[in-house]
Amino acid sequence: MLAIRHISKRFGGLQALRNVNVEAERSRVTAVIGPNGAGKSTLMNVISGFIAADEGSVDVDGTRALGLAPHRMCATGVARTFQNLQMFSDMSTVEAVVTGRTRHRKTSLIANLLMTPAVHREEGEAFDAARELLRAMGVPESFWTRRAGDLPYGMQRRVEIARALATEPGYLLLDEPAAGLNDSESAALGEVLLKLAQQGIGVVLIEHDIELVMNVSSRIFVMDAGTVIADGKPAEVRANPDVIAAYLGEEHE
Amino acid sequence: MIRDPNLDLTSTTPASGAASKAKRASVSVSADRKLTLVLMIVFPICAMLATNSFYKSVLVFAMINAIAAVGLCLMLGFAGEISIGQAAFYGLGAYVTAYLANQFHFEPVLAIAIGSAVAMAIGWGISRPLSRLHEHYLAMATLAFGIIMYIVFANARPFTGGLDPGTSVAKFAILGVDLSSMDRYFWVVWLALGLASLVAGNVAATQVGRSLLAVKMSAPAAASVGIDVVRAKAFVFALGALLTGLSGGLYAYFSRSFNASTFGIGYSIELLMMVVLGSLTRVSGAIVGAFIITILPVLFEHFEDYKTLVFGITMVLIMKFMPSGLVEGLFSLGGRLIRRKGD
Repeated sequence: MLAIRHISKRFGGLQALRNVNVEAERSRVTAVIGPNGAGKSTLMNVISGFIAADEGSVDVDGTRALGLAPHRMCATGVARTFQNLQMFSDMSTVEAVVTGRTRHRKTSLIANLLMTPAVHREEGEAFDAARELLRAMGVPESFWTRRAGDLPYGMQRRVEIARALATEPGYLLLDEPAAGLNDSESAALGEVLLKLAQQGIGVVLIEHDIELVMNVSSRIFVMDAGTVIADGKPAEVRANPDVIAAYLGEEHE
Repeated sequence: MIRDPNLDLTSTTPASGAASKAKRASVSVSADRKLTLVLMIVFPICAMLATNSFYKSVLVFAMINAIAAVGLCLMLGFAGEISIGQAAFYGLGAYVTAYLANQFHFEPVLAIAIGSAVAMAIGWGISRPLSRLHEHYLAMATLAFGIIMYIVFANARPFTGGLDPGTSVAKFAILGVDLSSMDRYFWVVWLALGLASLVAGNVAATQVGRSLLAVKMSAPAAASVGIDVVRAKAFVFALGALLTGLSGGLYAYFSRSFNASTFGIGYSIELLMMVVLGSLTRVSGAIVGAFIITILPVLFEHFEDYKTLVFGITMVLIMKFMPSGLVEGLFSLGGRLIRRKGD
């Protein structure tokens, strides 16, 4: 379980997060929703190690993980995507995904500088794994050798998820993956997320697309003004009057 | 607070503006390797054709510069880490080599190796405080480092001889075999350049280079897939400094007598020009750039007045029409021609 407990974070005079508790389980899609400025992205950055929290703890499958630098957080099995696309634009698409394999590389730096046969083998395996992931994410083969930054936006989103999956995460944090996608792309994304959960990954979804959230999530946490105001199954959250007042009322129906 | 400005998520632009213009296709690594190999074959042919020892020494000097340019190419082109202080590493390599050879009668190869290692250690050391800076700030910090080291070289006279009288070293030899004639020293430098470009090519072809590119293109994304951004920058600074130090050590035995004026800002900027002119992301490009920048002034020797003018215009034209470098431009031109033939 990815357990986020009592997280608080203050930016100058702004209390961005106040005693936030969120839990995400493996093999489930857990969503965090809330209006703009609710603190969702800050929470995501705290979990992934990009921002240091003032208080609280983050446990990944029972291991204390708060305060680790982002690259160490990745090693605990937490992968993420970004709200503003962070693509390795000048690489080919497949290379961008291969880069996600970094933490699983066994060969030493010296071996790489000498390009030993073991390095050749490992490169081959990493490319095979990356192609497999691109196929699974539905990125057409014709895109694989193209410059990643030239791909359509929706495709780059998929490549970003493939790159995160290449780290073989236990938990996948997705920061507004449906932003900028049309309805059919969004529905396809939902199917992908459910498939990932079936494979045992704990998907944490931060999203504005309520339709998508309601369809795929097992549990939803609703944030407003830096605190969690409600959590539960989609139906419960939908019926919660606080949630309707804070968020759903304006955007849904 | 955000811990590391490199990982500032609000910034959507990659860490280095100038360097990011360089496009890179996935299949190009082997083309780069082939061109490097061709160059390594062309040099000895040029050396054989060189009619007088002056041209031969220009060729050797170009190859020495090429080693330093390859180092900077890895730093700037791959990791996006600009350095306008490379002359410091070049000087460190040269002075440590000369000092060990003069004071302790070290075997020249060993002296060069230690000189390069010292440059590498200093490169690694300064990368830590510099790792939070990028673009203009990094450029300024490395420029300052270069200036400080120049002042040290010019004033630490007991060690360096300063500007006057400078320092001199004995002839280059391996196990007592004199290799100091230009004909023989050519092969020493040729071997060093071959090794340097082999290692740099391996960096480019493996996850090591890919990690550096990742850091350049998006530091947050690089960190999110487990790349230690600070360590990657330290590595590339160390490797760049190592190659530039090696180049400096070879220069010491090439010129045999030099003073601190060689290691000023001018040389750092020349190196930068070599890399920008040749290619930011191709090892072969850095070598071609080093040749052009070393040889052009010699070619225009008789037109002293127009030298700078022609040089400047050439740079502007290349920047304008081939922003990712001459070699890059020629590659894409070649690619286009081949495709047209195929139609």
